[in-house]
Amino acid sequence: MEECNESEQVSDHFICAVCLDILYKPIVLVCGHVTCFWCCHHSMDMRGQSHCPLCRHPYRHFPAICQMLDTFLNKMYPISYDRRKTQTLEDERQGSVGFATDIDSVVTGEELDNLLINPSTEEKKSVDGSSAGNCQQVTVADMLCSACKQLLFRPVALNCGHVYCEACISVPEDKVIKCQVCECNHPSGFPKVSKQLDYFLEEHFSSEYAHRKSSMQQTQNGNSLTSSSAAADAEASKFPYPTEENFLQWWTAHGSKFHPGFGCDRCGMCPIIGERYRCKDCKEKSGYDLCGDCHKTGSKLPGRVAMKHLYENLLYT
Amino acid sequence: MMNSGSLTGGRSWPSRTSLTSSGKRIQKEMAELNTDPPADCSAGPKGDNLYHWVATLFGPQGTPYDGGIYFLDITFPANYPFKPPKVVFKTRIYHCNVDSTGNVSLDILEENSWSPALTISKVLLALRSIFTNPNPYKPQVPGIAHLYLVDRSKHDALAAEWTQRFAK
Repeated sequence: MEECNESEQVSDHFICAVCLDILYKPIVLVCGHVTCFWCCHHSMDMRGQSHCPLCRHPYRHFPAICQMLDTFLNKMYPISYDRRKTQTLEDERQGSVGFATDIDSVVTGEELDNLLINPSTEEKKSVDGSSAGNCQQVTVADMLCSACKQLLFRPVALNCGHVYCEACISVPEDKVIKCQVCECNHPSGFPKVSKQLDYFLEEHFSSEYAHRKSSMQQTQNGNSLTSSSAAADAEASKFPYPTEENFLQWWTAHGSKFHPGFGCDRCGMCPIIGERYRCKDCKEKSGYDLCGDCHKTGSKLPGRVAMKHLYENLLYT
Repeated sequence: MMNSGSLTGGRSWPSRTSLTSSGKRIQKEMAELNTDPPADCSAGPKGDNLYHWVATLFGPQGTPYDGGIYFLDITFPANYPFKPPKVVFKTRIYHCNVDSTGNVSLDILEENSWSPALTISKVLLALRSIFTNPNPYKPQVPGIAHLYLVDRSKHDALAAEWTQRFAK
């Protein structure tokens, strides 16, 4: 119905490769490719390693929604975004989006939306007031690095959904990158630059982008960017995934530590490998689970899928 | 269990506004195929069922399939694009990757190598490429694959004869 009078021409950079529609609740994978939240969730393999739909890059952690991009798209294409919002809420209510997974996620629309749209992080402040406007209002201020607060240059997104310039991410001694905003660990190795986003920035904010580029070249810091992939490799060798050939051996060694169909609601590890904690009285069908590491650190963040959940009553399973 | 939603019998066909996400995606692909059709092939829904398509491929020049017109049936699963579509040749073809009932062995159509970012136009492109480059190392019909490797000219002659007989 709205589709007929929809006049916005959505840039190709913001079309999700899975649903071929405008990105809705975008998440950025560690390889830099962007898809919708549900599109990624449904393409995941709940029993083993998941792969990026575009480049087949393997990943274990389902990233959180990229709030910055979400706000930005909402401002840039309010009509299309609104249409997607109503569609998705309807799908979520019917549970029809829950096709491919074991998780039958019936997330009530309003709850989900409140949690996502309400500023849970400080970077979102002026969403609601300006969302009714048109795409002209999009400024550099919508595309800032979480660290240097300048226009993003070669953007990378961490597992928690926060976006940084590639050069603004420092790899600490212990090799695990930590988000400076939410202090979440980024478990999947050094993220790749999101080309989709980078091209768009170059096109849309050409003068600012060129300025950033030249200033970047001057400061040329020899950041060793590949160092933290070692951490991800180490994790991978600790808990390998089964292959068809070694399945039995693998099962005797790791089978009991493996929770197919359950993802950690904090770090997104899916399936959970190692200890798993499940909320005893979570009302949502998808339930609320944590992996061992996240349980230790303790968090009050809403879940990846179980958005209504409050941290309590966790049971070791 | 999988929720097959609106595809189960007994329910009326859903209206356009309440299409499932798979239906929306198929519609998008249909629109794209109409505006920007790939070379030497076409595809579209068979009747009013969005999940059942017919595609045609023209045998590429320089191959023994040159001049042949091949009809294919494409069936989309209810959870498309997260599971691959099923493609069956309706026209007989002498090809090591297509058996006598029309089943195709094509790596991207297998569940493990399928990616939700693939579309029907990409599948058709891949099918066109097996006309020019059959894959005898992963055959559907081992006999044809063997002949292809051992006696290429005989294989080509047979394939051309089948094209004349069945695909014109």
